[in-house]
Amino acid sequence: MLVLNLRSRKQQFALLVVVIYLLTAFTVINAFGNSHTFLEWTTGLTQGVNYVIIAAFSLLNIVLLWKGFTYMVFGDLRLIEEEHIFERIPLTVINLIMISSLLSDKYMFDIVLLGGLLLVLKVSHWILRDRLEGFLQRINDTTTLTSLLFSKFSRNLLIFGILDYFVTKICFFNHFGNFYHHGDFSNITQIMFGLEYAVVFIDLINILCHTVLNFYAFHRTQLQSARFNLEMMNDDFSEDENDSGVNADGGLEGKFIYEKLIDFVAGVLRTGLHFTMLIPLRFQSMLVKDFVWDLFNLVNNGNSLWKIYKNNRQLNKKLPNIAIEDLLDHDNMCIVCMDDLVLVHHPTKRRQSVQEECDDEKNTEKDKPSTTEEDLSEVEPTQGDIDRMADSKKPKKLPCGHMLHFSCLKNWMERSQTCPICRVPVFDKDGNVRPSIAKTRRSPPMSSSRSANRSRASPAPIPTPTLTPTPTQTQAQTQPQTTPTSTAPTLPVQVSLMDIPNRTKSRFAIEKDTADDQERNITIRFRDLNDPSKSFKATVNVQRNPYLHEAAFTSS
Amino acid sequence: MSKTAQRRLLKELQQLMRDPPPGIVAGPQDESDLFLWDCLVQGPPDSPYEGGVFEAQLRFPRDYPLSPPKLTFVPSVLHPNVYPNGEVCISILHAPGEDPNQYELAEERWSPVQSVEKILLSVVSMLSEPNVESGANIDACVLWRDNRPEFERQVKRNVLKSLGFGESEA
Repeated sequence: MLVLNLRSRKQQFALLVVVIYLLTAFTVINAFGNSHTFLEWTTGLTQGVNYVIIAAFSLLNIVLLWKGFTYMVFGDLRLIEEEHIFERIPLTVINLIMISSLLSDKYMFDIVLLGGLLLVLKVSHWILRDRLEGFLQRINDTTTLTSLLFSKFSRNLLIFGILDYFVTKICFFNHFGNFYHHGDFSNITQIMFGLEYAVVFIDLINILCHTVLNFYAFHRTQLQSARFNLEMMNDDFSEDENDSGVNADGGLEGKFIYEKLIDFVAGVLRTGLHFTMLIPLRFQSMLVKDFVWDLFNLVNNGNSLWKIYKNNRQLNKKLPNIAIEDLLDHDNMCIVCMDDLVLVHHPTKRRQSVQEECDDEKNTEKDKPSTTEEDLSEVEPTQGDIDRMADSKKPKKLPCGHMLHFSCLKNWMERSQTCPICRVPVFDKDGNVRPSIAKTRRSPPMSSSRSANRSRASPAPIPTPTLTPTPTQTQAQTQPQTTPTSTAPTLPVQVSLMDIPNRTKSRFAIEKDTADDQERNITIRFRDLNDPSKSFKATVNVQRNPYLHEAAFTSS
Repeated sequence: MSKTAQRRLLKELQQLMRDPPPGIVAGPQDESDLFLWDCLVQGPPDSPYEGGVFEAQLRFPRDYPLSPPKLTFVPSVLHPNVYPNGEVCISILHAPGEDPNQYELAEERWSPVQSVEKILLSVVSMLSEPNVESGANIDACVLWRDNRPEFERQVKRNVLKSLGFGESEA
């Protein structure tokens, strides 16, 4: 349905193009037939309805040209990119018109040309900025640094960088050349646009810095993961656990801060540029507005950056380490890494029986790292365990009473100066840790808080089937269902396991299908076609309603 | 890739397997890459999506859980808060910090307390209660608001189609 809609919209557009082209052709020919001289012809074209048609024609061609251009340079635009363009373009165009209104219309041609180019560059830079984000999202295991460096994105960055640089240079040179040769300062067209281009150029450098930073972080991460893999092969996980604190997050620590810093420096450059241009441009109101706006942003950003930096520097000192009593009414889990808050070093026998129970489950994931910590998780930690932890891993207590590893907390605090669990600000205005407000508050334990307070409407209770994935084929099976309450079920009951979505269906073959009348359980056994050694048993309990109630998949 | 992220994803996976929430299945597409998950979400009862099973992809950033993952329905679902390309637009999936448009409160946005399970549960609640005020699919918004029966009819047909039933049976 959606596809149909889209297609019809495309068709509508094509129709519009054809109609306008035909109308234009008709108008031109008609005007030509009615006139005897070239002058008469052109005046005929710019009169009355002809003028409207010609205007629509040029507008359409601009749109078509723009579409072609973006398609060539960027390929298909993502939705978010288009949205950003439509959001920002009205203000930019108004700004451009206001700038043009300051300039003498003696230089109309210059203004239109430079303004058009400026608009194109600005929009391209918005896309470029959005592209960076999308580009980084697509990084996966097969990505290498070379493939990043020689990608389409890098190419575009380079092209626009060179373009920006030259346009800016030409504008400034022309202006100062004019002044030098003719002592003429009255024509500020070039310098006005030169300034705008310089701002765009700074924007590009900003994007470039972000790109370089991200590439560098990627490189670091790759090196680290190579080391990590080596360690995994050597199987010394427990040791890794201890010394990983220094650079636990992998990649570049504090990348977020660096990114903010880059933005800040770009802001300083922009403000400086606007300031130095105030004098040659004789305090044009537009420029003063830009300058004041930049300065305002700069002060704000600088302030928040400084606060974050200062607070994070002193985070370790200012926040108390937790004492063992704090753990009494708190889960022994750090919400960020979901590891144990306090790592226990001496496993006791108490855990063993539970361990055996889980053995089946564990077998399938023998090669996964966290099973070792898993076994330890239910042992009571002691004060000694806390003391033994590396400083960077020591759990910290926030004013709201929530506890996190120091390294986990630090990474989060770069992004937001609030508690990740309850969003109570950690610092007050003067950068002091707020007095503890937590006396009786109990943090919602992550594991069991299905109905945790979410800001959007909390999920509607779903009373019916439980789909339990098998450890190895987590995403493979599910089943549609009907609820007992609906008087007219929209789907036949028998759809159950047969009608798992097509892709999945092709991978499984149902082997046996037995119904046990007394228990009202239906057992279905099916086999993975891709890997015949795996087979699954599904038990469907239909006791509580005539349709399906619960389907539990158990591996066998 | 980030070790913290990997480890946390593994923990979430174990948690999901040990204590699976109703109507939700999720797991990595490929065991070697924990940053791309496939999910199956059951359409909530008493909504037009009832009875449907929707496939979605979760793509985690390297600095998960500090940054939110991206959730995309494959194929897309007709819903006011789902972009035509399948991307889900809910506030808890938006990066932390101040929203430049002051549209959403900081409390509604991403934080590391969120998890795969909570995201998917939010999606289930999104399916039953669309938020047309911050719509992602304008056509679906308009349809939902102005012509609810037609909206439901289209959704139901999509549901049946996704289950392998032809249009004729709808």
